[in-house]
Amino acid sequence: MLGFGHILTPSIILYAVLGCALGMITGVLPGFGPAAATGLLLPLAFVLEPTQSIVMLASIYYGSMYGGTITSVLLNVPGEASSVATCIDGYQMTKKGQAGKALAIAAIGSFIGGTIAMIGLVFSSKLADLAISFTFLDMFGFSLLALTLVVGLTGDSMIKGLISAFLGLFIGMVGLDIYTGGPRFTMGLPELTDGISFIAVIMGIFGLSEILESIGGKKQPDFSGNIGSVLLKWRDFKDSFGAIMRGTGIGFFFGLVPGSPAAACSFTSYTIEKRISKTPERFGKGAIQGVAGPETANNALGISNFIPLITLGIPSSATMAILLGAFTINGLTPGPTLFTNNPEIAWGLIASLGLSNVILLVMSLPLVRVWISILRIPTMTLYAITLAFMTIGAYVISGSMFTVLTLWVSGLIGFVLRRYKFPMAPAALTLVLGAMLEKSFRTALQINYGDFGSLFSSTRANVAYALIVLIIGSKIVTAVRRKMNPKTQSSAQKSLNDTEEVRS
Amino acid sequence: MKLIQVNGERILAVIMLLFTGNLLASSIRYKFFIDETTPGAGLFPGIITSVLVFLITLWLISTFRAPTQIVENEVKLDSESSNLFEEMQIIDEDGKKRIKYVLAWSLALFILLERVGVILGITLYVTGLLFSVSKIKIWKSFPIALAITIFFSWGAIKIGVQLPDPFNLFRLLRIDS
Repeated sequence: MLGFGHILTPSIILYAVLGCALGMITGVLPGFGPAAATGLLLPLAFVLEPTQSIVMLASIYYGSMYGGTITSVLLNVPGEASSVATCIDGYQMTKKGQAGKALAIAAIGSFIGGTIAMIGLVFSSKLADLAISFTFLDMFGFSLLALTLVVGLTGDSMIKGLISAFLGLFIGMVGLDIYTGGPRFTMGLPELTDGISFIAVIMGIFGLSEILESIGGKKQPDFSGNIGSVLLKWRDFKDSFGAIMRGTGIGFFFGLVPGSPAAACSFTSYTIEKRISKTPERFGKGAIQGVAGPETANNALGISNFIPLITLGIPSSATMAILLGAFTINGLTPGPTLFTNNPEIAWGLIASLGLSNVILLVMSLPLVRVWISILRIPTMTLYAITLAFMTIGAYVISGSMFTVLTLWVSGLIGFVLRRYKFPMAPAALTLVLGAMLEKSFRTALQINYGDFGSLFSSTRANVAYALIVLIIGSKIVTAVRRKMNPKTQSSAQKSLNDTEEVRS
Repeated sequence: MKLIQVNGERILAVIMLLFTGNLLASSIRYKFFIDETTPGAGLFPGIITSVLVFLITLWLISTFRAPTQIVENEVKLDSESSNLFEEMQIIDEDGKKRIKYVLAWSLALFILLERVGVILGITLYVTGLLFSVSKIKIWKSFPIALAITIFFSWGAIKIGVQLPDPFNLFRLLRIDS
């Protein structure tokens, strides 16, 4: 109850409402997923108090997930990878004039999935009690494991994903060395002694590069139709209930594993619903379960993603890495000590997710036409406004144009790398993990008089190393198998086939 | 197009290799160990940049070894599936022009923002973008830009943010704290 007591004040509720609204507005922007939306609004973490900023950012993250659902259903444009599954049946429902129904079941499913997942999050404090006994060696092992799990975010090219990850690690090393106090890679610039601004880099590689890509690409469709009624019949609830319950379980367990692709979660839910359905031929033509399952799974994953973050301090996705950065900006250290040193923040975060869950349900359905009206604004106009907003946001961080320069340089580098199919999610994750990894590595070595063999003296660390070998090995085996058997399709190709089938 | 793409990857790989090689040399200068038992400032960067050099070298080699057929298939996949999240959008000549306008205007904003302040700087910036990218006439785009800028500035000031305002326009508009 400590968390709810801390959160249920008028000002915090207001920030949660504002966060959900901002999240939905940015999530509705085509191409903007939760990572870009959270990154875009990250400067708020800098100006608000810790509780306010954490509540607001968590609400933004939550709201942006539903914003992505709106574009998936209405425009067949997924806001992020995990929304692709929603496009398949959601857009078909829109074509049949049932867009309101699709959005309604997505909102209700998300609420139920989020609520149940939150109960699991409440019990996660027990995991924190275990993790509090971790030594520097254990932390090094698990940080390295989290880094390896990044391999799950590398997409089709493992080499490019790893290059992106290690570039993120390097960016995190610029600035003053934590032990010697000497400058590293600052090129003599005093502005770099505090390091490269994490917020500016995240805004650049996710937000700015996405906008540049969208400005250069083909015109995004605007939505001018009618969504129909958002009221569901009892039959719709009955048909979707099973999908919602199964989606909750799938999403919750996927979210516990750092690095597990969110797209895999929603597609797993979709595939299961199609397989167990008595009428699988309806899928791809507007089956309500095809929206309910993936959307619920997506939301449950969004909540359970917080578990590795607040109990172990390990981000399990790019958005969690951004939120970890927000914690760091506010002088907080997520991990096992958060529940003991800052219990009001830990429980407040959990309570704020529950609060955001309720607020989102209240805001999404009655106000869905308001959010949709954003889609009627020409996309280029929205991008122009967003660019101005990002520039002000970057300036606010340090009050200097150097951070704006960092934003634009990161954005341009992110844009170029994305054109050559470098994934940006690994860089975001390692940007945050890098400091933890280096600290635990050097401290572990120093405590053990520079003996590298001591890195293998902890059982828990050894377990982590064994998992690392297993993960890398399985990835290599999969890659070799794919090369030897060209008929094996990648997930992107499979989903392409699904959508092609739907469109024909 | 496929040849340009492969050549572009090779050029990018070479640039990145030179850059990370330089970083590796810097890491060595920072010292890997301060004494026999204490890791120095260069140890961790040294490991990271070494791995980066290795990975980029692998990538560069792969660009020479990849058959052109695979590259052709990748390009075909891109153009057919441009609505999927994972795939990149095709950028045509108009698209390149729009990006160049945005970069040019942003450079202008970068130079002007602290000199003319947020109200004038951002208003001119958004006006320019709305005119060049959204094709909205100046007599329409200017008031829209001004309204949006004042709104954002008011919001920022309300939460305690300091914004550059050399001409005291916030006071004139009565939105200062």
